[in-house]
Amino acid sequence: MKNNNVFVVAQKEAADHLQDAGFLVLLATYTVIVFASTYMLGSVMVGSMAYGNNSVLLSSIHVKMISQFTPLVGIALGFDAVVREQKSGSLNVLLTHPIFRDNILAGKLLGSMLLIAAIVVFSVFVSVGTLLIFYGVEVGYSELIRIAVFAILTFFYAVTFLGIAILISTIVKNSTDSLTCNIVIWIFICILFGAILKTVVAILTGQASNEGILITQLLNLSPLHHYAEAVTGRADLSFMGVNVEPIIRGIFDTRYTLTQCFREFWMNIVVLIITPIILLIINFITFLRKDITL
Amino acid sequence: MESTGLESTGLEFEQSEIVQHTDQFAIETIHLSKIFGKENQIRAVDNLNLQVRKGEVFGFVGPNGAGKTTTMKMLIGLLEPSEGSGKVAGFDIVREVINIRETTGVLPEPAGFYDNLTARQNLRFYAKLYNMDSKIREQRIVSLLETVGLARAIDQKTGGFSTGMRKRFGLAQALINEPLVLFLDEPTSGIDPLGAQMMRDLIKDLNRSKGVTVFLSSHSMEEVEEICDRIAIIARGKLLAVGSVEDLRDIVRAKEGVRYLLEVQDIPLSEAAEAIKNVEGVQALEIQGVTLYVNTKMKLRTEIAKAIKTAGGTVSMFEEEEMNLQKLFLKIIEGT
Repeated sequence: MKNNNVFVVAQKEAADHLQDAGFLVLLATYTVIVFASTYMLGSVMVGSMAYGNNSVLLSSIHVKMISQFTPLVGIALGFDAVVREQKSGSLNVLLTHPIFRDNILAGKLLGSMLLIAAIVVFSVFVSVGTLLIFYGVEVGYSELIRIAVFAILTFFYAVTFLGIAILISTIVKNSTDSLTCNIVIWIFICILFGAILKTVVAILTGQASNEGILITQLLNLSPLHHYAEAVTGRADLSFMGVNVEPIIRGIFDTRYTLTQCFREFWMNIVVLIITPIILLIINFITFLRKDITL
Repeated sequence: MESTGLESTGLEFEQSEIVQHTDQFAIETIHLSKIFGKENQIRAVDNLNLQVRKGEVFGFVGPNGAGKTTTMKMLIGLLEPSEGSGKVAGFDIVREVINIRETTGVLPEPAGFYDNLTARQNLRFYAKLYNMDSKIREQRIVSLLETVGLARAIDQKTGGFSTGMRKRFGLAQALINEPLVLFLDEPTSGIDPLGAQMMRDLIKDLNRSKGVTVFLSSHSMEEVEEICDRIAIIARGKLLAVGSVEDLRDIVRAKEGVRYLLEVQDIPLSEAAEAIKNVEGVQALEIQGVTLYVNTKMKLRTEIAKAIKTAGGTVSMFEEEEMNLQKLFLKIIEGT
């Protein structure tokens, strides 16, 4: 098997995205959002003692903004990964060369995942840099470790959406349908899930509480919930979501050691890691079974 | 054995002969079939036995939905056969797909490229899949684009290429690995006559100069007749006939008889017709203007000439109606 062909495809995939004007515009917008939200939150945090003896640096990273906009990076990288090549006939040509189907998909995933990793690291630099440059906050070793864990969790969170995007791209007939489906999923998970959940549970049980068993169980369906809980301790970060003040504020809570945080949120972290892996497996099965040639 | 329609063409002997693969053919299939669907099964390719000799240009023709593309997809490992087996360049079409792709070149239809990349970048990407040395790779890219007449467009994005340029570029990408066998699916469809002729000349030249075996699927009978050494006709997934154009003529003659055109002097055409009518094997006569058309069961040239001479006439023109591939194709697929 020619495994080096995975890298050939990955290299091309990453280069294609970096030369795509649409992707660069999205990346620039994302950077501005991360910078602006960190700057605004930083000004509030530096001037107040709202988080007691907690780290100002960690408290100033706008996790809500990052949780809502990072999925768009995954979607942008994956929504037309397969359908565009299928439609244009380039997949038809590529498959006549010595490369297995699974290598094509693996290459695409690898290329996109490398870009996601780079973007996540870049956004962390933007956040931390903003706080260092504009507010002169100090950065300790413990904070750096937590920021690294945060970056890894954000990476897996974004890869979940990349997996969903590529899966849809394999199933649908054109790029527009794929983008529409992905945007609908993004709005549902990142914006409306909490509000819809509360409404549905209220209708079913007659209770408007944020802490019912049903609402807690259903929240587990959302990757945003697991990300939010692991990073901030909050159950939900979507619009009008399930807001309960947490006892431990996720991995950013410096009152607890990282090990204690992992013990508390291990389930969320496992789900965040497992979900993209499951999605990638589904992607491989779908891609290998489908007649993708024209 | 299930009827393949070959009985009527007199090719059943050649078919039943094939029992096992040998290495003397560039492409060989044995009872190759592809069945789609579970309940309403469609046999897109049905019991196909094919042998393409090394170094020949082999035409593969048939109406839409005949199974040409499905066959080609099976031969290059894009589809797994439901039944039967096949070999391309000595490699099994199921177990040695990567070896096949390393030794073959394919111009599929439709063929798309990475339109955001230049011709050079596109070819570089394909070449990297063959683990080529970078120096050799770059030289080959330039040489291939020169061969297909796209040297000037080497740094142009393929998105701006015309249909003709795209076809020629498609040929270049198919040749990136210096293939032993070249699969071409409709290589001239959608391009102007000049471009089509250039493409045909390229294919012929590749075959002659480098000995590349060409498997050509096309709807253009004129093209197939011009460049192919042998031709297979397929309809509804079944192979109906295979051979050179002359072989196909013999098949049609055996099935339909021969049609002669005559011009006679010294006696009226009606008298000549009366004389010919009694020749054994003559099936029909028709007078159109100054020409007499004679349909016979077999070749009866000498007998007809003799009958006219006996009646006192002189034959001033005597031709067998020439059937081009287009006509042969229509005759062969008639009734399938």
